[in-house]
Amino acid sequence: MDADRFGHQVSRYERPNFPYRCGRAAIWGRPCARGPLNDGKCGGVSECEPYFNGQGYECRRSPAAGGPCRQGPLPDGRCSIQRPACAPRRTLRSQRRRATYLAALISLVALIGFAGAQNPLSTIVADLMAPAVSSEGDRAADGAGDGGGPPVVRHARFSLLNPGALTGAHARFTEERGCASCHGDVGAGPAQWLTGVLTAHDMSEACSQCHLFSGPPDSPHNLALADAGGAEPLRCSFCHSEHKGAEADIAAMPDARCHSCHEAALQFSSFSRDHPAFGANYPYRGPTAIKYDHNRHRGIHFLDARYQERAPAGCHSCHDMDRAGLKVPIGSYEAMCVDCHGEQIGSQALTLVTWPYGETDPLTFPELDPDSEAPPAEEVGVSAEDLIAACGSDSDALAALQERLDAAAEPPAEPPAEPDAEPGVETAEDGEEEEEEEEFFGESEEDPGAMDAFLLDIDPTDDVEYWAPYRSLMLRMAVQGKAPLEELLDARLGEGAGKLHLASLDQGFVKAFGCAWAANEEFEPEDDDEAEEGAAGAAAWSSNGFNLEYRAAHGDPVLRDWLTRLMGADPALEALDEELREEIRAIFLPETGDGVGSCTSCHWLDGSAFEGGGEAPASGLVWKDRPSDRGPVLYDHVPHINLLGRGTWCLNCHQLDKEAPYGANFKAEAGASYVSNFKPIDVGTCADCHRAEEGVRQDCLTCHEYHHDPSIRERMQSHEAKSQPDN
Amino acid sequence: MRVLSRAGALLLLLAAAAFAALWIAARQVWLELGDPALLTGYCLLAVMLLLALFTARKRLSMVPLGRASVWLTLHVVGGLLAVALYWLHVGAFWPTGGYEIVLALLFYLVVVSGAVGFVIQRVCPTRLTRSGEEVIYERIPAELSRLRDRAEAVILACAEKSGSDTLARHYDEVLHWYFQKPRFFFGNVFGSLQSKHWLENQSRALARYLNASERDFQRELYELAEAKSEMDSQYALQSLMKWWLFCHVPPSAALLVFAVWHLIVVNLYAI
Repeated sequence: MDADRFGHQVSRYERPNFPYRCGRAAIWGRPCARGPLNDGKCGGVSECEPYFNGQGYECRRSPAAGGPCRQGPLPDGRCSIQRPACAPRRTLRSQRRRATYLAALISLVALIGFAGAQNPLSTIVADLMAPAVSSEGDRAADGAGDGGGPPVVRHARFSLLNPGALTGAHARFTEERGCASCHGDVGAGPAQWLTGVLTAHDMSEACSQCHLFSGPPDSPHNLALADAGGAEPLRCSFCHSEHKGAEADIAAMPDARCHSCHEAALQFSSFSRDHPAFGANYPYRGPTAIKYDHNRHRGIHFLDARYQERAPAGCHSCHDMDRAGLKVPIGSYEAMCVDCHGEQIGSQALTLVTWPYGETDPLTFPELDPDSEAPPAEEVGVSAEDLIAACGSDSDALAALQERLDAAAEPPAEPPAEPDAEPGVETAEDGEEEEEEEEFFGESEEDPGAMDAFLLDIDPTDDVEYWAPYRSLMLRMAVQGKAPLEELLDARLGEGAGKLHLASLDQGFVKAFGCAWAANEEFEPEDDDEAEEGAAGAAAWSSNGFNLEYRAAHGDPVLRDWLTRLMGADPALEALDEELREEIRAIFLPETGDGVGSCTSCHWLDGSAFEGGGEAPASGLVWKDRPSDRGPVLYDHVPHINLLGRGTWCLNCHQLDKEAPYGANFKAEAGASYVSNFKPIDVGTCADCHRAEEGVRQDCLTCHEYHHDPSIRERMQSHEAKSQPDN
Repeated sequence: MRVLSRAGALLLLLAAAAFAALWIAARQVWLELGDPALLTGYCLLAVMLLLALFTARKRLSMVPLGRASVWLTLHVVGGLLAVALYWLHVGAFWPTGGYEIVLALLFYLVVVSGAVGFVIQRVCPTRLTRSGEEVIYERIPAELSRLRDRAEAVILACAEKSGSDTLARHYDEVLHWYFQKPRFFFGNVFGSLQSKHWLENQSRALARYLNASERDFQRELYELAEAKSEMDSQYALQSLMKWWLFCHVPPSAALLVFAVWHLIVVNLYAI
């Protein structure tokens, strides 16, 4: 092989960076020496470009092509060796460059084309790839929202704006507004794109529209930490990274992240080996709503022959396993307590109005008795005619009133002439008439009670003073029913109190009571069965003949209202005379025991009495267990119940402490520690199962939750409910 | 064959150290409830732009920007670093979203084509050197043409001298196909002796029909065929060395476009 055949004199200089190469070479023929032109045309139709030297044309064929030819140029200056033109091809480098530009261009077009659902390309592909998804909603999704708000930007599943599928719940609630559900109107138009790229976005605010916490959403554990000054606010997306697929676990929190902040004592790798001890009373840190002494019930009451039949079979008899969660709540009062405690509630009545003893005839009206000092009907609010119309005239007193009314209605007759009588001298007959007027004695021998004093704002010991307001109230009750009582309660306790407290009071019952008082006859209700039923179950009004009394039922709103006011700082009660206030308090909360309704027999009087009583309110009666505040502890009974069986293994963890002075809780003063019926649960109990050897989870999030008291806004729950096909 | 030069090893160590430092920093950010994707993402983009500069360096061969071999080493090590950074950034082998899947697809295509190219660039030059005379790629058509002309000249000379057309008919029926263009491409790519065996078979079959004077021409003809076989090998290997870039450079351009898009979208929606 001739090694010098590529010498610069005999071989052309190859330029692979030129855009074109000889078409003959491209089909494996001999390339011409001149090669193609830069514009892609053949440059080799002639062997050379003859040069005019002033006298004639010279051949300029290159040495590589054989040097000047024998024939030489034609007289007109053209080369004498002509060839048909070839079709130059692009060089490899040029092809690669074009492919690169093309790839970039296709990418750009694809990005613009598939960037949003508004674009036809995206919609077409979405229809092809997911016809089920591209239903009515997808097609109509690129217009303005119905509410006239920002434009609704819906994105088909195949969108180059979509970095991945959302998890189930998020995918559902974004169906309506698409990306705008979380991202607002960013990307809704060129202007928003420009400003969006250049401005910072934090979707945490959007997250907080639905996810609520008891503390700041951007602080660690949603706690207002005192030493967090200067720390960057956290973003939800730092831990919860969406668009990772429908099944992605976006709430995962590896232990290492917990350990990065928590102190060395909490940095460990094994729960079973290293976890610090639980608290002294764990998990019984405070009283529950019901003062239920497990030891006394199990050890005394349920062994009593009278109650043995009613004794529960086990924990599951009272604790509702179906509602188990952090706690296993107890069943209802009706299901568990009423058999033994039912009669206790109605055993004491609340006397709202007492018919007091009096020595003045209530049917004295100045209109009929000019000499009377009784207030006029306008002031009382009831006239004699009203009273007769309401009560009739069957009784002696009311019949007498009717007669006086009739007499007053007749025209006055001329008095007969008495010629013998001297003016100014009383006759014997007049004296006899005065002597015939009987002295009035009330049937009742009761004194006004504390509630009367409160309602009428009277001194219950001053029968002269309280007579007028009493008379007005009773007469109005006879005519108007419970309206005057409601007015009084509203005036004393605030608007609405009357309706609340007297909701179950019958109008006819009140009127009959008022009429009986007017007639000075002991009140005898027509049917007393209602009162008896009230004592047995439902709330009811009754009377002992001289009063109006109320017997409460479980969960009674009247007693709740009174007790709430008494436990709080109700202004109406605060303004009372201290003695009267204590009297009222003694009705509901006597020092000696349970008052009306016996509420405090089972409900804690004041949960704040216990140190660290997280489940109790600051003060006031504890009606129901409050949502637990166990800090970051996240325990769920359900898997444990499912694993161990219903009610069979409760005592495995919850062991009764028979020596615990649970009763001391009832006498506890502020600052005292709560004493539970149960022994504290220690780490070892949990570690029996939660250890590596058993293969049971023991990472931090097994029992702790990062967020403090998380919840979902109500509208999200309603959206979820609507999105369920069954709903 | 040295896979890695000393400078390459040093660069690889530096890249590994840089990645380790970044991994620690990203993990620390993650542990402190931060988002490390920002840090890893921008680092990845920077590395990708650095890798793209290699093309610019090749275009600016007249500017003294350092030796091309150093740039290539940088490119290879940078590519490895980019793969590690990609996994650190994405946190998974495969993403889920529409454009992220396209982005990942392009990234892996570029990575795989780059790795294949690296192997090609390491293997082929050695084989080219071994295969004899090296002819630059653009001159191969002319060389094939020259060999074809010489072969046809040999046939004419043989016919004139021997008065027999046996060799000429053999050329017309068999070797004309062979001399027209490069043959046995894949055999040459994979280094098989398919071409040589074919020639030997043809030569052996022909020899029985030739007289002594023709055999000299046959020998000369097959020497040219052997030379053409070597040229075919040159063509196959050099084609491989040039064509793999079609799987690497255009996807790289698309990848950069998608990466910039990703940057815009992330800044628009997430940051």
